[in-house]
Amino acid sequence: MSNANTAHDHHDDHDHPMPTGFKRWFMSTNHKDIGTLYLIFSLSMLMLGGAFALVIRAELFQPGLQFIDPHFFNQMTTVHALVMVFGAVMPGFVGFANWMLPLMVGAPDMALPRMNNWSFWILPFAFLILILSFFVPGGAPASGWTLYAPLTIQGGMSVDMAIVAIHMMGISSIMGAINVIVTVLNMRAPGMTLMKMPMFVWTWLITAFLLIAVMPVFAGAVTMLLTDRHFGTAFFNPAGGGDPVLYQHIFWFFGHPEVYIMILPAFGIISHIIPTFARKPLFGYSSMVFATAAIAFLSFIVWAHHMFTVGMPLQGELFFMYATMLISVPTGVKVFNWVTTMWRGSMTFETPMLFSIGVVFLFTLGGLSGLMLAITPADFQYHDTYFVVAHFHYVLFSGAVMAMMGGAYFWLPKWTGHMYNEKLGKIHFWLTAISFNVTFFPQHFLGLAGMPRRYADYNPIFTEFNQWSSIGAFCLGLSQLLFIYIIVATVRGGKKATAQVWDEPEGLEWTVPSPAPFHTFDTPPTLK
Amino acid sequence: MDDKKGNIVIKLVVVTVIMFGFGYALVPLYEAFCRVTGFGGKTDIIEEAVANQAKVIDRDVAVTFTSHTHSSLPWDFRPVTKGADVKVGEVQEAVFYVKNHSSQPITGMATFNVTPPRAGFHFKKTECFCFSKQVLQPGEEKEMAVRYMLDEQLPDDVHELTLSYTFFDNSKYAGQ
Repeated sequence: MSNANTAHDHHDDHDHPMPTGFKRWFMSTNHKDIGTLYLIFSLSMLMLGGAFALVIRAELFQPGLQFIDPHFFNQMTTVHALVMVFGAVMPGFVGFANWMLPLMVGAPDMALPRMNNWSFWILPFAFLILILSFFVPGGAPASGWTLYAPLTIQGGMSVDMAIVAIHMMGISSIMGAINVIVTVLNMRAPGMTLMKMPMFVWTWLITAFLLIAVMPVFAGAVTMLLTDRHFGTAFFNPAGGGDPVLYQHIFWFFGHPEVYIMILPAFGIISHIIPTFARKPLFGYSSMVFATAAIAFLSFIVWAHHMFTVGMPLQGELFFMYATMLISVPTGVKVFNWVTTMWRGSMTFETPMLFSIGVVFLFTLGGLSGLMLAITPADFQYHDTYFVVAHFHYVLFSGAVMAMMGGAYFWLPKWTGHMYNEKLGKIHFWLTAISFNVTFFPQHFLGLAGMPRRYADYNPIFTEFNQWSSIGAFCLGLSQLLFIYIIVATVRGGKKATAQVWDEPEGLEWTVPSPAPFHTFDTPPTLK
Repeated sequence: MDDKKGNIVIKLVVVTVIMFGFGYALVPLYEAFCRVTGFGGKTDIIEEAVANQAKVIDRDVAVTFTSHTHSSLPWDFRPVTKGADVKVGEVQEAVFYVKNHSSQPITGMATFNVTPPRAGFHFKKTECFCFSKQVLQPGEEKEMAVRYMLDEQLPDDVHELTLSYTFFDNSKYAGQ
């Protein structure tokens, strides 16, 4: 760690005083405050969604029904997924984008600060509506997060509440995406050409385009559900000439780009962390950019691999199988680039680096099981089993969420001005990584042995792996309390962080003091 | 907000609106896709006069008829013609029986598909009770016909196929 200048220039040399309380947080247009709000919201949703997951794992500790009835179990799986996808992962990345994009491109703020405020403050109300649906007759939606018709045409009032909540979340993330695109295209410091942008900026720019392309399609799909339910249309209801399979096509046309929306910013984050701790520039920068763009493009032509067992012509199955496998090429480019960045680097293993290496290793495992699922004939065996559950948790938890944790440790000193406790950080990493694998690795075997997902009960032959999984899940959940403790302790105090924080990291964000002052880059920086 | 930013924002909002519309456009696109490719076991329609001119080929295909009634519809619906050995190119008729058990007049609509789906496109109907809604008075029963033929492009390896009908309660959509 460098001993560069520890000076804390807190020139709040602005004529207006720093707002406080309600005015600061509820009416904020400051990208750093809004970023903080997003991150706190994301962490709260991670805990809430995690609590739902623990209800699921508690029930599955033993075969038979112990704690909850199957209908409530289905509500848990559904709301767990909705909360994690739309509440934890997506807002989490928007939080990182808010905090870091202006700092990385040398802009004073996001391009559209007031819209930024709206896009955040819609979210808590969206989730309030979703969570309140537990208390209406029939309980929360229990159809799975995919909200497949025709089941959701029949559901109770909670389905309508979920649809409204999804509309609000969609509006929020579209506004966030517009903000990112305008900021990146318009507010870069002089001299920062597109091909000089930091990787996190690139991945977010592409993610934002994906969001704008597919969130409206999802909004359309749930609007069709809503009108099918109440206004006499028959998009998905065969009684009126509709087709339920059409819903699945529209949903997955959104749904597959959505999974890349949730992973591309994670790729961006670890593309910052790995070079910093390998003390080498990122290997193959331009191939990283093109690989990201290629993944984004391919994500639009693979959706039906979620629907192999629904039935489609052989040519269709072959097309979607090959297109899906093709995605492993740009993804492989990225993985090799990270590994090559580490190759012969002067590596040190601070907490952010541990998380990043964890992501490279475990995400790749998730990619491997994804390749297995892409093989159409094999998918007929694996479809809707715990193998799929294991697969997407390897890419979503040990991909997206662990990258966010790594990113949080990486930039926490910049945000708070304090170093976090390195020892506790490392303990948090190992607890998380080990308990994650204890939770989800056995689920591969459960799936291969034929245990179907989304059931409250199971054949007793699956008991042992389920017990491993449940024990792991509770360790994983409890380990995150340590994460919260570390964050709170770092916010409150700790060793003062330098402006650079790490050993000569690259990027404009390290040229501003730690903590980053309320206003930065009022005059654009000059690039070396 | 300066003009340059405003321009990008307007463009992005337009893209958002277009993509919302695209979600809806997928509905007719999907239908057109199914009609053209026979995806999902969709069948084709042909004029009776045209069908009668088709050359009959000495190739037997076993056609089976099955029927289902949606649980919300108090009708009895079953094929009278359970199956037939059909020559390719010859126009045939199958008869279905339906009865309304309830004390209400009910409008029903039948959906259908052909298995294997790749044969659906070559299963051509000249007349079918599924072309229109069926209204049954309380206690009414009747027999309904499907006239169909198999065209000569039916894939060679298809030796048997199944035509399945499901009747749904369409009363909710009666006004349309």
